Amino acid sequence: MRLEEGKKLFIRSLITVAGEVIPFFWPMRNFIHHNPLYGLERLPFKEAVKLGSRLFHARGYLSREAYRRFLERGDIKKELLIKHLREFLKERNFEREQYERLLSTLMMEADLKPSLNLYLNCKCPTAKEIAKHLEEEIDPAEEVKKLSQKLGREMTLYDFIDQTFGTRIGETLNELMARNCAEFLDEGQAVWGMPFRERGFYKAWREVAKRSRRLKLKGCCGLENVLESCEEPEEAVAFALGAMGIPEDLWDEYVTTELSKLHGWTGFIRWRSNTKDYYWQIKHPADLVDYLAIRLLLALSLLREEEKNLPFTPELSSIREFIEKNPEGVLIRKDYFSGKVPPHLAQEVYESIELDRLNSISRRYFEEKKKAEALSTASFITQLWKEAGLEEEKLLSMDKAELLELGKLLRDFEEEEGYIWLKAHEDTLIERLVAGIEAETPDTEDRPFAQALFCIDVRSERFRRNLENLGRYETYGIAGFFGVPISFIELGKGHETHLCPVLIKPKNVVLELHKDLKEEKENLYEVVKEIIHDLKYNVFTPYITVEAIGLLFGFDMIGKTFFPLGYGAFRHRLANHKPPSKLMIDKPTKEYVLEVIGILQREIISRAVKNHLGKEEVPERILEALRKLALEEERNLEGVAREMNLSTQELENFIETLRRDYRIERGYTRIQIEKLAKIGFTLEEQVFFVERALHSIGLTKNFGKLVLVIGHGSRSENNPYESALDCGACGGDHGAVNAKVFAMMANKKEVRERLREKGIDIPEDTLFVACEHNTTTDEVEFFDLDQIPATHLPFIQKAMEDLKEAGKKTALERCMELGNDCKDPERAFVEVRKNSLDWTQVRPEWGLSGNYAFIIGGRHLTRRLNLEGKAFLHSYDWRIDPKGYMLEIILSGPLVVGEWINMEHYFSAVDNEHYGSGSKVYHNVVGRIGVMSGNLSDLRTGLPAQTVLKGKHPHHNPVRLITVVEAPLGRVKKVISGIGKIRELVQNHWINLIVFDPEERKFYRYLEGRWVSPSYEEVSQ
Amino acid sequence: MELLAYIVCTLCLPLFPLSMGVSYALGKLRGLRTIAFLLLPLAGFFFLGFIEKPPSAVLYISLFTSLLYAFRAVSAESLSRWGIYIFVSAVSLLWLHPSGEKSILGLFYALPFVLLSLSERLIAVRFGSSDLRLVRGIGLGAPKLGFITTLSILGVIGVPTSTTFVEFLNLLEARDFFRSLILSGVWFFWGWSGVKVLSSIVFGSPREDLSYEDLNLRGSLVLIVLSAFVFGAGYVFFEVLSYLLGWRGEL
Amino acid sequence: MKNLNLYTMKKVEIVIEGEHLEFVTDLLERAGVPGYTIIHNLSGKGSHGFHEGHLLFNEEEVLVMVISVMDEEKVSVVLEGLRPFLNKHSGVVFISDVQVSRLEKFKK
Repeated sequence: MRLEEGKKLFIRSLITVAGEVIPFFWPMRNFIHHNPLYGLERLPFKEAVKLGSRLFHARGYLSREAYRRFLERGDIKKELLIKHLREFLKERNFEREQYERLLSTLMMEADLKPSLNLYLNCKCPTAKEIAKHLEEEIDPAEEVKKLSQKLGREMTLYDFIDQTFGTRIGETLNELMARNCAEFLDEGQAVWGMPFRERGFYKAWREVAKRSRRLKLKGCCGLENVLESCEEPEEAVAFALGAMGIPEDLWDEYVTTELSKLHGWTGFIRWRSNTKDYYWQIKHPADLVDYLAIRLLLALSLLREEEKNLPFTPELSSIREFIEKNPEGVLIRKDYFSGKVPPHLAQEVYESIELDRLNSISRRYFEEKKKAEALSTASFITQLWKEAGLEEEKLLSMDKAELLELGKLLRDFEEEEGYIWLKAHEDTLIERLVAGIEAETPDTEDRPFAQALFCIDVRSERFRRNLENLGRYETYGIAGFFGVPISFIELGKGHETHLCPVLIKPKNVVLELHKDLKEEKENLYEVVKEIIHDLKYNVFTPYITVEAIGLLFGFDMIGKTFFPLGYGAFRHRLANHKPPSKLMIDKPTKEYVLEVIGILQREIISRAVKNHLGKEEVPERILEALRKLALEEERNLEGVAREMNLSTQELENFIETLRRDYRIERGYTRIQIEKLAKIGFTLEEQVFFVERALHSIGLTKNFGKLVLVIGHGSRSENNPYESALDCGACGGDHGAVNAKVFAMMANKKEVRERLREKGIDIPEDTLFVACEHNTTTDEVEFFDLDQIPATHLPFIQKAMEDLKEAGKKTALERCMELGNDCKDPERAFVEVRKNSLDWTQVRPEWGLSGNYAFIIGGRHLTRRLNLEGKAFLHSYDWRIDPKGYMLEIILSGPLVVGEWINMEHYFSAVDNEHYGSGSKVYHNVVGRIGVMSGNLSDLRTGLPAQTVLKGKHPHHNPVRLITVVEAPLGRVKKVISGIGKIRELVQNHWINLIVFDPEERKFYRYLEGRWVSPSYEEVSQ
Repeated sequence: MELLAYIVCTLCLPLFPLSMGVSYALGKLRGLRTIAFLLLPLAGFFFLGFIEKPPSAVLYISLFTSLLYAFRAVSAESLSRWGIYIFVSAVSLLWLHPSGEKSILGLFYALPFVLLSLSERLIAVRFGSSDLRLVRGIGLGAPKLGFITTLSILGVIGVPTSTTFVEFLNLLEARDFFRSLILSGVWFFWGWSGVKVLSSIVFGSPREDLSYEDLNLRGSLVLIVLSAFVFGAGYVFFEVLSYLLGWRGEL
Repeated sequence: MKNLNLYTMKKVEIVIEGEHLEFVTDLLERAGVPGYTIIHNLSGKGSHGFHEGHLLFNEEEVLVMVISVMDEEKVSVVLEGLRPFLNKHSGVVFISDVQVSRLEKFKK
């Protein structure tokens, strides 16, 4: 089947856009917290949750039982709950007191819910009475119309067949796809990898499928011809959708539905195809079009196999016809296979289905069903009425209309209930927070001993509090990458790691080198020498060698090629045994770069000469001449040809080979120069980053003797989720490198000179020191201690002691929350250390669990509050940011990262099985990228149960991030209206925004387009 | 006498194709089924004692019936249906039992099925049906009931040390390879289908739209005692009885 | 003017949000256009509100423009490919006639 170019692109485009609701899945080596409903953020929260529930079969709110526990603990105030309940009733004109009593009883006291089997044991005569009024006629023809509408859109063909004939096509299909994905996307875990992978997912699968007997056995008959004719995935997609009879205008909805079935795998493929420089994506390319092509073809063959047992062909219009002709039969079947049959009829229905005699029982079935449903609802209402303490006569005296209204109210309430609880929960926490915030902006005190810059991560809060109590420390919160996006190449590796929030692409590369290199000049040579040295001992063809070296300047996976096993889980272990190293952050000069490229190219040419011309030991001079010829910098072929005893023609051919196969040519060299030029930071850049960071947090004067730049990371054993506990602002990595780079830049004399010109005067005796806070053990490691001048050693000593002390106190708090045995800080310190080293520990630390607030402003706001390590704290000084640029930076960057973390925790807490990844106990690492539950399943997304739940109850408080900003209201409004993302998040209620206006000394809260006071009184704005 | 015995046994220990009728009839009974599960093996076994040596054709049909119903049990759609199939499968095996035993042993072969039937009834009363697509997650939703149901299913499929298990040991004879093969197949299918039913009806999360009412303490104690007999008593009783009656067991 | 040979081709300008840049460039490459130019950090106003232009912490918000010159036949291919995208996302496409002098640069 041949498709036109335009059509192929159309299909590709359509699939890409249809897949946008599927959240990205980052490989777990660098776990990124993100909102699973990220693709739906353009919708208001409530709507998005509803749509998400449908797409991902997941609950959007906690169960009533879970909320009641919060109520009992005082985390939800009863008055606020009643308040929101009243609002609900008011909106529906049901304001009478009895309804309030009814619903509040249901929410807070009664143990009732409308269930399918209530009518069986209802002894109450009242119920029987009112049931008569509640009977609603079921019109099969109408009902199936809705079903028919859904078909081809949110319901696939096999969904329909599974639901009405009890088959398991969907399940089988998912299993097959999961297996295909695991095999193709494996990143070195499998000993025997799938062949042909470099051709792309679809093409590789096609090759294997054409030969696979197993596939034939699994019922994929008739597939061979299709496979032959559909070479490209787009062709396969067009064919399959056509064969299933899906019209083009339904394609995008249908595709979305198909893709959402295994949203873990599709999320990963989506991410991969979006990350062009990911090594494995380059090696084994895969995208959603491939995935869909395979899935649709397999679905088609499974459908065809099932066809002989079905009374219709598995094709859209044919099924619709069947539905129209047999509405009763279809409905009864659907009821049965989804377990919604009135139980006392189950046996009979089963037998009728077996004998295909549905028509004979259908009339009676619908009669009984109508009665059963009415009786169930009636007995539910009656029981609830009684428990609410209301009089039965009132109920009996209601007429039919009123009763139906009541029934509808209860159904509406079922849907709304979660949201009502959520709002009450948030209001309670907001009330508490606002009450505790201190409004007074303090005057500047005398010079503090030291400033400490921590990441905004919630775990810093405890440490900051404990540190501040030990001495004259000023602590600040800043995104853990300190505003410096870095692409990092670790010692011994040849690939880049992005150390910054995933929203940004770093433009500067930082290399890590051996510490002992004295001369600056040698640094890059050493890197190169190391690579070359390894090359000599590897049995690779020259092409791969060249690609490898060439790729070095693309900073791609050379490490992979030479150290295939040394990646991933072993990276951290390597880090512990690394030789002493230092970071290169200054830009090399252009001459230097050219020299290095020269060396490498000559090395490549030397090998080429050996392989193609059979000559060894060619003098450097000749190699250089050859190089210049290849780069068109020289034209004198004859001279060189003579020296090498070759004819001009032979030399010309060789030069062509150099250009074509070895990439020694002008354009490519230019790209390499560009890439190498990315190493390091210019002076201007260094000044820019340091200035912006300090300005954004409001640290521009009054520097202490030390400024501790403290990144963070965590350590645990046997934990695939390890990087979820690391620094999200650093792309799911440790913050040490960013801290070191920032400190190096800020300590530079030239940088400080320029900063002085810009108004930030850092005294000469102030020293920036880089550290890392291990959030699992609460130890703080200091770096580059040998660089510290003797004058500052006593200060460092004191700082180290204080940090240790603070660490112990923090450990104590955390230890108690973890439920371990800890009586005092000393003991706690030991306990948390054990946790981090214990490979059987499923919960090395609580991490970010419990996060609920993000506070942007001065430390004075929260100084006296114990936020229990559950709030993000970003420092900001509104007085020095009149135009709001710094606020913009904070709101568009760190706040968005905070929202992602918050939403990830929210959804993993409310429905851990579907939005989260379930219990760690059943996890199996697959392909080195993620986990499955059991031995084959969808790739699990989200957070594991142990992170957000304690036993089966939520430990995390699932609320939308409560954001408090200390700045004049006008400024905040301006900033929000200027940034699309923040506007979206605020207006669609993905976060709760509170503004503390320091000039008016008033709190404002954004609520549905208006600004009100946090206690809901309208404020004139 | 032997004629009477044959008549009773044919009715009580069903063989194919009469088994279809028995199975159908059992399906129609509800509360009386428990009684039937008790009386049929009891009566059958009693009268079996009067038959000297059944013709070998009967024995082959018995094996066939047993295997057939064990196999059908795998695709049973409800606990009730499953129980019936396993019952027919088990009881038709009694023909193979070496004659000359005391009849009240039939009681012990019936016990696991009585327990199963009781559990099934309790489920049906609460949920209207024990259809596997309808009822799920009893283990978490109504733990006591879930526990009893589990015990009853395990008892029926011949988990050591239930009476069914002991019976199997009795029937398996090392000399007759063919018979042992069929019996192993039967036992295998019992196990497979039993676990399937168990994982459907007891395990998993309880449904949000069903109300789960658990057993009260008194009721569950009674059933626990019964389970004890199913499991412990079977073995102990056998030993004690065989000692008292001076047998050496056929094991 | 000397004897310049000018050839008529079509210029396609696409303005989109930064987060979709790769999608558009990928599309153009698959369509087989000879090349394209990217202009970053645009600001402007459309039906969705004003877009700020300067460099933020968040590069996905900012607008970019992709300019590509191609044969007339390729234009319909590209437009068909863009159709599903433009149905769902904000962005605009302008097609205009343009003349180029070095034809070999624009033919593949």
